[in-house]
Amino acid sequence: MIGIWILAEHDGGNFALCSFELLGEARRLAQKLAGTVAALVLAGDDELPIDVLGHYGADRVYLIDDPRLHHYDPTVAVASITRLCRLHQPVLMLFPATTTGSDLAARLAVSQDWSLVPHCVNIQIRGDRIELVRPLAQRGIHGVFSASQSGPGIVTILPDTLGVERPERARRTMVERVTAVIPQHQDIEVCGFVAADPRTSDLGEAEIIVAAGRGVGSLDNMRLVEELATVIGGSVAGTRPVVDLGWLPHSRQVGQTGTSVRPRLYIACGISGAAQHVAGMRDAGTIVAVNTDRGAPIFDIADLGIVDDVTKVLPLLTQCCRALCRK
Amino acid sequence: MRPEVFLCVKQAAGLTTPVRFNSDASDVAPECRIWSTNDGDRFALDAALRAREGGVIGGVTCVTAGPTEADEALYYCLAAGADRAIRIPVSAAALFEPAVAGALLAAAIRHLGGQLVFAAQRSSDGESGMVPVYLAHALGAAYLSDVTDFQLDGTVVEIRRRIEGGHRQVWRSQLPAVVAFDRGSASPRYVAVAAMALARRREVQQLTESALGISLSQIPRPVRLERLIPPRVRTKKLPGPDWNQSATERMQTIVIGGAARRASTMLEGPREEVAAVAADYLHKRRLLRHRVS
Amino acid sequence: MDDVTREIFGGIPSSQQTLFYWMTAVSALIFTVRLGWHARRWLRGRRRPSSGYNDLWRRIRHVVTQVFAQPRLLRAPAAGFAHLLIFWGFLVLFVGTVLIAIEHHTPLSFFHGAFYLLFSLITDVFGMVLLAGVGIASYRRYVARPLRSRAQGYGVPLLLLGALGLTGFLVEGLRLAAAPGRWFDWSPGGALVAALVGSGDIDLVMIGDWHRQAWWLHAVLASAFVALLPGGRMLHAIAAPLNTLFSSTDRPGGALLTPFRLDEVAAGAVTTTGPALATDLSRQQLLSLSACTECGLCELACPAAAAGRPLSPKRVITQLRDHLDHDGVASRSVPVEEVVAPDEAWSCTTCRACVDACPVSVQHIELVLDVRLAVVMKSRVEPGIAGVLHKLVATGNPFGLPSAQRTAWTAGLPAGVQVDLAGQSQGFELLLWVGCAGAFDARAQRVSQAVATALSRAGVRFAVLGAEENCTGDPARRLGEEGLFQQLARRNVDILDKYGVRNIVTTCPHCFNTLKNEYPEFGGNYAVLHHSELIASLLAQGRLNVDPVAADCRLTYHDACYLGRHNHVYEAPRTALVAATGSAIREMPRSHAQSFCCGAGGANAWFDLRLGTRINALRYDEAVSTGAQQMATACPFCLTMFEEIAGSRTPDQRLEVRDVAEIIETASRR
Repeated sequence: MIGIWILAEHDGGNFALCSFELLGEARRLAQKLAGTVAALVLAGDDELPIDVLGHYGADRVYLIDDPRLHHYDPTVAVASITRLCRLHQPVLMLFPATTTGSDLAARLAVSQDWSLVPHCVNIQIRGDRIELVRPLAQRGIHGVFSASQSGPGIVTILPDTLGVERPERARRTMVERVTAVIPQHQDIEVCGFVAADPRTSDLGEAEIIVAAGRGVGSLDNMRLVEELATVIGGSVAGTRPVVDLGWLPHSRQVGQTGTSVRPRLYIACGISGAAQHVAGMRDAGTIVAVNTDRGAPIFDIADLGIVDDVTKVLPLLTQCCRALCRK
Repeated sequence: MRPEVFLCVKQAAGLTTPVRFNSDASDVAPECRIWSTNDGDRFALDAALRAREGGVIGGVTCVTAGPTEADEALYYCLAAGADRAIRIPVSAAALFEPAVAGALLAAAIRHLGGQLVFAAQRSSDGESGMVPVYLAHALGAAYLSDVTDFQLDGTVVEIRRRIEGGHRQVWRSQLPAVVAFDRGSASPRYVAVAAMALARRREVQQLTESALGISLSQIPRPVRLERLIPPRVRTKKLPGPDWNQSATERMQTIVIGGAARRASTMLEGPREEVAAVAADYLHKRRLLRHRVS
Repeated sequence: MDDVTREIFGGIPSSQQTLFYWMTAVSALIFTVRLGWHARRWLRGRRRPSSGYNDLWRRIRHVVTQVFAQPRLLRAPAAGFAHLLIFWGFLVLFVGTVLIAIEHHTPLSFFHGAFYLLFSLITDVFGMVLLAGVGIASYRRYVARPLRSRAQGYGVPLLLLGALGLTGFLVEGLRLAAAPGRWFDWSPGGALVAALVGSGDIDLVMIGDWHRQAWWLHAVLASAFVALLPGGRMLHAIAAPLNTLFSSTDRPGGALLTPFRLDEVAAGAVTTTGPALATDLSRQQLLSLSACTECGLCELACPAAAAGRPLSPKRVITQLRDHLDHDGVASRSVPVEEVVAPDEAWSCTTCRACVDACPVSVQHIELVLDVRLAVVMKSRVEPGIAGVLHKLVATGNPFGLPSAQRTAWTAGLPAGVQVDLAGQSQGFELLLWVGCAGAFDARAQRVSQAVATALSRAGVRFAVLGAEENCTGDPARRLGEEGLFQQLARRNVDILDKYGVRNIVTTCPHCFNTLKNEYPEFGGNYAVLHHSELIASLLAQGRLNVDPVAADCRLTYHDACYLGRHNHVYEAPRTALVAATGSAIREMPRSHAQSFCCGAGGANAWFDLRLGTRINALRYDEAVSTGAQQMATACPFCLTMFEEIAGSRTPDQRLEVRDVAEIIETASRR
C-alpha cells in the first residue's frame, strides 16, 4: 500500500490551514499512485477535531498522544515518527514548512538518511521515480531532485501556497492511537514555553498591529485602540506625533525614526499617512485605515479604507470582531 | 576554558534576469550570479560577538565554503570583529545541495576541534535550512533551531527559539551543539565600507578538501540534484509577500511590480454596517486571531 | 627738545643689569623648553591627507584680522572689549620694550626727541589701556560673575598682567619723582604716580631705592610671565594665532576635511582611518585643543546646547584637552568615544555656528565627526542610525525606497512643463539635481515641481538623472561613514561625467554643498548653483518674470545652515523673495550668518535622538516672534522641520512654511 503521509499541525484546539492544504496535495498524489493518505498528529492532551482531517482527505490518522508533546519536543517526535515509518513504510511525507514542520522533517531525514527537499514547489511522479522541485539561488532557478528509494521521501511545503480543496463531510477516517517513543537519552531537553504577549513583545515581531495617529484625539481615546488590539490579539503602536504627545512610549513608535514593522495586519487609526510613518509599515500584509479625511495619503496604500471618525467607528469594529473571534 | 564559536557563514548569490546556464547546464553562467551577504548570517554573527563581549565564549572563528567570492562573507565578519577566517574552496554549483555544504563545514570544524557552532538557520539564496542539521549530525552535536536567544553556562547551552505567533520555546542541551539563529527583529550591526576595505587586506586561511581528508564525490546524498530548470513551475496560488524575504528579494518584488499600488476598497455609510463589513473582511482573510489559552 | 630722553637702565647699577640679563635668559630658556614640549606634543599627532587647500595669503589675512581686530570676541561685547584692551595694551608695551632693547644694544639711535615723547605718551596710554582691560576682566570674573566668565586658569595671568601694569606705572612714577623734567606730562600715568609719591618731602635716595626695587619687581614679574606663558590658559597667546594659520580656514565652509582616502585604504597604503584612540588626533587638532581659551562662545551659539542636548562644543574640546594633558603618551590611551560620549557626538547638527564663533579657529565639527567615525568603524552604531546606513547602502538613498521611484514627482507637473532625462535629452544646458528629499518626500516633491516649472517658464533647457541619481553621500559623511560617502561620490561623478554635465542646479543645500565643495576632491568639478541663486539670476536677466502680490504678506526668511553659513548665500533668496512678494522680509533676530539651525543637519533628520527639547521648536518660536504669517526657506529639511512644529500648534501660532521656489512659482503664473 503506497502511503502518503502528512503532518497535521494544530494550535491545541484547531488544525492549522496548512494541514488541509497538505491533505489536498496528498489526495492528488494518492489518486495518481493509487495510494492512501494518512495524517500524523502530535498531540499532548488536546481536544482536536480529528474527523475534520478525514473530511479533507485523510484515510487514516496516526494520533501520537503524550503530555510531552503538548509543545513540540524534537527527540520524542522524531523517535515516535521514525518507529511509525519503519512499521508502515510510507513512500512520501509532506510536512508544512513551519518552524515545527521544517525542524521535524530535517531531523528525521538527516538522522535516518532519508531524502528531504525543503520548500518544495512541485511533486512529479515519473514512473517509479518521484521528482521534487525546489527553488535555488533566491528563486532565480529551480532544481529538480530525485529522492532515493531507501525510505520515505520527505518534502516541506510553504503554508498559503496550495489552495484548500472542498471538504467531503461524508468521508470517514480511521484513527489509530500511537504511543509515543521516549528515547533513553534526549540530547535536547524541553524546559519551558513563553507565550508571546502582544502587549509587551517587540513590535518588529508583531503579526497584528493597531496603530494610533493624532486623529485618535486624546490620551483618553487611546483605550479604544487598546481594546481593539486586545480583542483581535494585536499590539498597540503609534506615529511619532502620538509618541511626542506622550500617549505612547518610544518603543511603540512606527516610522522612519521608530521601528519598521511587517505585520500580517496593520490597522491605522486616525493616521494621515505621512511619508515618515509609511516608511515604517509599507510592507504590512493587509493595511486597514480609518480616517475622517478622504484624501489622506494613507488611503493610497491601504487595502481597506474606512472614512469615518475613529472614536466612533472603533468601538463598533471591536464589538464585531469580538463576536467573530468567539466563533 | 571558554569555548570558541565557529560561525558558519555564506556568501549568497542571486541571479540576473534572464538567467543563462553554462554549456552543460550544470550551473548558471558565472556572469549571471549576483553576490550578496546572507542576511541571516548577520544575526548569528551578532550573537557570537555579543557572547564574546559578555565573556561567555573565547573567540569567534568564521568558516565558509565556496569560491573566492565567498571570502567577502568572511571579510564582513572580520570587519565586525571576528578573530579569524577560514574558507573551504569549492564551486558555487556544488553548494546547491545542502548535504555538501554540511559535510565540508563539519569536516573543517572537526579538524579544528570545534564544540560550539553558530549559523544562520537558512541562507537567503538556497533557504533550505538544512545545513545546520547536517552539521550537527556529522559532528554528533545537538541541533538547536530557530534560535533567538543564546546562553551558555559551563557546558550547558540554553536557548530560546521562536515559533509561529511569536511564542518562545526554551530548550537546553550539552556541548557540542549547533545553534541555528532565526532572523531576529533587531537590526543587525552596520559594518562601515572602510572597515570592509581594511578587512579585505586580512588573511583568510584556506582548508582544502584534501587537507580535510574529504572528497566531494564521496559525500552521501540521499537526494540528488538531477538538473536545473528556469522558474516556469507554478504552484496553485502565487505566494504572497513572504515576510522572511531578504531585503534583496523584497526589492526585486517591488521593482518587478509585485508590491504595486494597492487598490483600496473604501467603506462609507451607516457606521454599524461599515464596522460589520470591515470585521467580516478581516475574518474572511483569517487575519483575526483567537486568543489562545 | 631734540635731546629729551631718558637713560635706559637708569638707576640700575651694571651688576644688577647683568643679573637682569641672566634672569631674562633663564626665563627665555624656560619659555623655549615649555613651548618646545607642547610643540613636540602637537607634532606627534596624526597627519591627515593633504586637504588641498593652501591659499596662504587668505590664511594670513584671516590671522591678521582675528589676532588684531578680534571681531568674533566682540560678539560678547563686554568680554571682547576687555580682551582687546588687554591684548593691545600688552602688545604695545611689549613692542615698546623691544624698541628700548634695540636702542640699547644696537648702533641705532631713535630714543630721543619727538620720538621719545610720543613713545612715552603712547606707552603710558596703552599702559592705562591694559589696566582698564584687566580691571573690566577682573570685575567680570570676581564680582559680576556671568556664566561665561568662569573658565579656570585665568586668575594668575590676570593677576600678573595687572601687577605688571601697576608696577610699570610705579617704576615710571618713581623715576619721574626723582628726576622730573619739563616733559613729564607726556607720561601722564607716571606723572600721576609721581605726584602721589612726591606730595610730601622727597628724599631722593629713598626714591632711588624704591625705584630700583619697583624696577626689580616689575622685571621679575615680567620674567615670570614670560616663563609661564607657554602653559595653562595663556598658551593660547601662541597656540591661537598658530591654530588660526594652520586651520585651513581658506576652505569653503561646508567642505569637511577628508579623514582618509578609501582607495588608499583598499590598496593597503593606509591602515588607519581616523582617531580610534584619543591620542590619534591630527596635529592641527592637537594644536587647536591648546588654542582653546574656554571662552564659551561656541557653546553660546550651539543649537543643540540651547535645546538641552548633551552636546557642548566647548566641553568636547576641554574633555579631549584634559584627557590628553593627563595622559599624554599612548600608554594609557582610551578610545575617543570614551572621552567624548557618542550621545554628544550624535547631538551635533554640523551647523557650524561654533566654528564661526570661535575666536581661535577651533574646528569643532571635525572633532565631533571623528568621534562618529570611530563609532562607525567599530561597528558600534546604534540601531536607529544603523538603519539609515543600511538603507543608503541597499537603495542609494536614506529613505530606503527604490530608485525607480525617483521620477514619481514629475507626475504632478502642470501642463506644458516637461522634464527630460539626461540619457534621452539632446543638449541640455543644466542638470537639475533633484536630491533624495526632492524625489521621495511628498512635501519636498512639490518644491521640485515648483523649481522645474520655474525653470521651464524661464526657457532653461534642463535635464534630470532620474533613477540614475544616487544620494550625494552627505548623510553618510556626516554620520561618520566616510567610506560610503566616497563610494557614492565616485559613483555619482562617473554618472555625471558620462553625460558630460558641466552645470548643476539643486534644490537642497546639502546636495549643493557636497556637489560644489566636496566633490572636486573626488574628481567632480561642476559649476553648482542652489535653486535660489539660479532663480535670482533668472529674475535679474528677465528670463523669469513675477507679478508681486500687492499686500504685505508678513514673510520671514530662515537662512538654512548649509546655504547660508556654510556657503554664504544670503542675498539671492532674499532678492527673489522680495521680487516675488513685493514686500520686505521680516528678519529674525538671528539671521544671515547668525542664523539658528532647524535641527535637521548632521544627518539628524534621519534619526531621532530624543534628548532635550526640539531645536526646530526654538527656531520656530523665533520666527513667530517676528509677527510673520509665512516662513520661507530654501531647504527641504528645514521645510519638514518647521512644518512639523506648525502642525502641532494652535491656528494663531501656525505659520505657513514654503520654499522660495514655491513662492516664486506662484508669483510667476503666465
